[in-house]
Amino acid sequence: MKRRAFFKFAAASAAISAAQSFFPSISFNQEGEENSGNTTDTESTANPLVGDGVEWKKTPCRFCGVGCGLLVAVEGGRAVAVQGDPASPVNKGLCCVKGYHSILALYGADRLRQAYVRKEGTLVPVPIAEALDIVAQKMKETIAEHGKDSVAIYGSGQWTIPDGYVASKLMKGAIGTNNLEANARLCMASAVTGFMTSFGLDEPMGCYEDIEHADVFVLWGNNMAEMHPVLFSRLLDQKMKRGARIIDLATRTTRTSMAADKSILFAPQTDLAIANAICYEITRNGWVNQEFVANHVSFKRGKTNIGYGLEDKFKFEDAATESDFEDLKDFLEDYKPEKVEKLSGVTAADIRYMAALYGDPGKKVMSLWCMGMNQHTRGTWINNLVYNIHLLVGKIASPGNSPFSLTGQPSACGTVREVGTLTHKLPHGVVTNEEDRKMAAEIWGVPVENIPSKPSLHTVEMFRALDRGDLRFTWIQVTNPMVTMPKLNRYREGILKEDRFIVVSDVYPTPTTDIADVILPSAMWIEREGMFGNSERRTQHFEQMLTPPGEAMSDTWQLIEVARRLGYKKLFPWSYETHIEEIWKEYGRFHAGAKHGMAPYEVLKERPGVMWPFVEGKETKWRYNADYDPAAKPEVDGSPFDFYGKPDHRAWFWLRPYEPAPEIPDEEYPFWLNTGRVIEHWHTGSMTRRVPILHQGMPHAYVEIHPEDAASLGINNGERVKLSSPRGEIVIPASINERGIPAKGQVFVPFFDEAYLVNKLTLDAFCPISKQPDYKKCAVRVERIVA
Amino acid sequence: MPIMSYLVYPVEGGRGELMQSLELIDGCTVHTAKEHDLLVLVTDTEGVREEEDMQRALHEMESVAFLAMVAGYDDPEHQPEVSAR
Amino acid sequence: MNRKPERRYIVIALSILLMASSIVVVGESLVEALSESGEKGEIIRPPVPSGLVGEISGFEYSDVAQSYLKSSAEGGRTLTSFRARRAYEGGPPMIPHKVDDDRSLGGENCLTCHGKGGFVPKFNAYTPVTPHPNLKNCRQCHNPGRTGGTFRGSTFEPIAWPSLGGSVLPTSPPPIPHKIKMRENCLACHAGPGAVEEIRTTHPERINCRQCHALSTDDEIWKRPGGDRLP
Repeated sequence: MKRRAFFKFAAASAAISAAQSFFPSISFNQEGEENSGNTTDTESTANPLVGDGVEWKKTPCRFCGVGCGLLVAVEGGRAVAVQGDPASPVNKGLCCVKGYHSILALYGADRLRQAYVRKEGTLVPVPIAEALDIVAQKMKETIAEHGKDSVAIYGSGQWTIPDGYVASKLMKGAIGTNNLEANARLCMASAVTGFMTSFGLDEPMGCYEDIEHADVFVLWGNNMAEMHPVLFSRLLDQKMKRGARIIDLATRTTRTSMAADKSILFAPQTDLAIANAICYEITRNGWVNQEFVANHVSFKRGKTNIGYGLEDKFKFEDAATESDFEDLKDFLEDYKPEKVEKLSGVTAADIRYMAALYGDPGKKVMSLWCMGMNQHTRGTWINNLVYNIHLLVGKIASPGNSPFSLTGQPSACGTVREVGTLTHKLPHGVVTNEEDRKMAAEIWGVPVENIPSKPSLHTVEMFRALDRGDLRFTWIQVTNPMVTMPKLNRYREGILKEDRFIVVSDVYPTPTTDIADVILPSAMWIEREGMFGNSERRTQHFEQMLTPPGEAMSDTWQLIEVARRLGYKKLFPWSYETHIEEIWKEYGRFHAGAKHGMAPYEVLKERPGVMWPFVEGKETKWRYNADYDPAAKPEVDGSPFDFYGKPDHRAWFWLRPYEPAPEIPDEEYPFWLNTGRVIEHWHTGSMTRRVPILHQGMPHAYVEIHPEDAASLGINNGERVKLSSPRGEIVIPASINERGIPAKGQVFVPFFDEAYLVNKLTLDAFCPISKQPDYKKCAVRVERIVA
Repeated sequence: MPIMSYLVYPVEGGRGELMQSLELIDGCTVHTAKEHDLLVLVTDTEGVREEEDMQRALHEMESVAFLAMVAGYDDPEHQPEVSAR
Repeated sequence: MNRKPERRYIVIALSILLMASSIVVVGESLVEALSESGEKGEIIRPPVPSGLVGEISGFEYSDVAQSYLKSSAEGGRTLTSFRARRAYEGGPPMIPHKVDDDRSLGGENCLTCHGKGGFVPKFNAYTPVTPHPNLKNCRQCHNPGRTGGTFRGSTFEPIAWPSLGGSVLPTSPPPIPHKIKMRENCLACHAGPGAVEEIRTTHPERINCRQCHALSTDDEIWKRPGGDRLP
């Protein structure tokens, strides 16, 4: 219609200007102005070229943890176009294919518009108020019958900050249970424990601007070209302009490997040994920054042979013992490059090459990683080990020298890590700390005894508890565990048992809504107001731009409605119009101060994201460095560093050994299985598969097999093959020499496709410190299907 | 879909009648001049045949003293597609 | 007359030498000064900011576009096919042909054809030229379709496609009806047989397009601050 309106406008303009050439002073009424009875369309004198009625509004992207700034065009109550926000320092105007098409994810034909309740086995539509009544009623009954610890909320790193905050206040403050977890346990927990053990405070010391300073980028098991594409474009830009070098250290050949200056393949799990071998070389060659180490580093040893969490109710508590540089030298004797070459498949020359890059005092080095290091049964250790390298050469907390833990989800940092929607966490600090509990109780206005001092169930254990029956009621928001839980068959059967009540809040039907007893339709992303926090400590606000479809309601408001029905109206008193602002102001009290101060609501609304610590109107780009961080109070002359997260004001260097994976390929199951994402799809594809161009670009999952393995098994590209592990099997098309090539003896399957549930095969082993499962390593058999 | 614009002068004292008859025809948009009898008329029709009908109807109107076509467009969006490949 | 130019050359050569030597002198002392002030002799460099988008390559394609001036070739791209490949105006187009190497970012593989345009016998078509050849990870935004249809249907409706024409006066140049971010190089899309027929310029030799064609995507009407002050 716009186009037609324009032609009419142009035709009228031409006629008017012709008339004006005869009668220079003539002027015309707006169409319909003279006789008000005329009701024909009035758009013809407004210039449709400039798209009036179209408003461009800022928001962070809905998808990954990079947190690109978008501008969304809204017209007639619908989102109609997207562009990258040139004012955003994250993406500087560029997006990836998901970001450009993100708004299409709002308009899948099967959006959930109403609530459903399971009655006699089938899900029937009900008014949302009735569904919320049922949720509250069921929660009350379950608590009365089985106790507070029989109910749980399982949320997400795609929760907005207010969603997570309200969930934490409801569970920990009001009800009084620590049964609150989020899917970020499956993606970022090892990064958190890595930060906590090494520095005592979560989240990176540096920021994305490090990219513009660094000379070398070492990617540890991180296919950035597909997973963090806009940041990778910033790397490529520096490579082109300044000759910065990209080293891809990985187990699979990907687009990132193709774009890197050097691709180094290692055997799964041996990253632990490689990191230690790099430290060995740095020490042997005298590249250690002695001054930095003497002033800012203390050495620790932790427990070894720490297990894999495969059994129910697995418990582990690490303990630090003192160590020193001499002890380290002894420890590293086990990691001579020639020895590690045999274990890892990485040549001693390549290990020395990487050590030389880290060791060269003239080069600034950035290490980047994400799921490869975090989804790891020694995830905390490998995080520690990469920090060790940077600490040994003093390349940390200054522009361009940056070990940088990338996050996967848009608000894994903002919501799960900063608000602390994990069983052991509070918005400030941990439940085990009395001071932190007191602070929470005071801000929340609840008795301190309400907040239990013991962590309860982490994610894997939460689903085990559902299976066992310790947990009876779980409310799942913004995540799809019936696709993403490892060892899926067990947890699927467990959740389907009698007397387990499951509430699912989502925007589309998924395998998780399929098993729900109540489905609540959620308002998605810019259909409500909220904030996300990205990898570089940047908090980004988005306003409500659209009306949610049907009865869909934001996750925040769903939680508030249920909390009020449970009798906690006093704790959740906010008005609908201003609740996000009021929540932000309350939440901000937890982080006040120079170490974690958050920007005021008004500032967040104004800017394309603000980095914390936000101190006296200024963002902190580099923490622990007094040149940039007002919280750092260096005590050593001439050094700007102060690692104030630890009581001794030092960063902790942990001596962590190589230990093997829990399940290693054998004769029966001879291949390593690795799982992950593709650029087109976000997580389980419940949103991106509704975007036509993304679905068309990547219509289904596949198993990547090395061409030589495929040849010896007689498998051709596209043929269906059977993958099996001791836990399950799937039949899936083969992909040979396409998007990625796994090393020989390995296969790779993306997990976005609910038709090929690869997590039926994966193992629920986890890092004993972070409790994060390892989705990157288990043993499978690959068989050709004989027609 | 052809879109045309015209300058239209009504016969002496026929302005009201002309406005009325134009309003009865679908696809006519009228802009009246302030303190002047001259009208700007924009017509929007579905196709070439409808456009011919429209022009005939305009010419047959008795209240029209003067009719001059100023601009004409045909929307290329509705032309048959030529494949790029 | 004949001897004068020679003398001028000598003068020019001398001055160049002088300039060069002064650069060396200043440059060396600069390095010294920097290393004295900098820690451990390290030279402090300003960061090189990422130029992901911007008016980087506004005129890059102009020389090639000129070679099409005498050409009567017809590329056959139309607005209809142009729109069918985009979800909305400004959205990245999908790739309408097979891509052999799915593991490549694109880069030179794509730019071989899409950098400068021209006839590609393999597809029997004139290639559209990218307006942003500085971005090498083509596959970050552009995908080949492997299947048709949708997973579960979609009700998305895009923003209105920008209208053509729109000259304010019959003789004035039409404004630019779309945003130009990442499309700062007009000739890439508007010149040569690879360009869409309806939007191909008749005068690519003018090169400095925005001398005459103004952006018309700003919907703010400028008002004097303080409003009308006349009675």
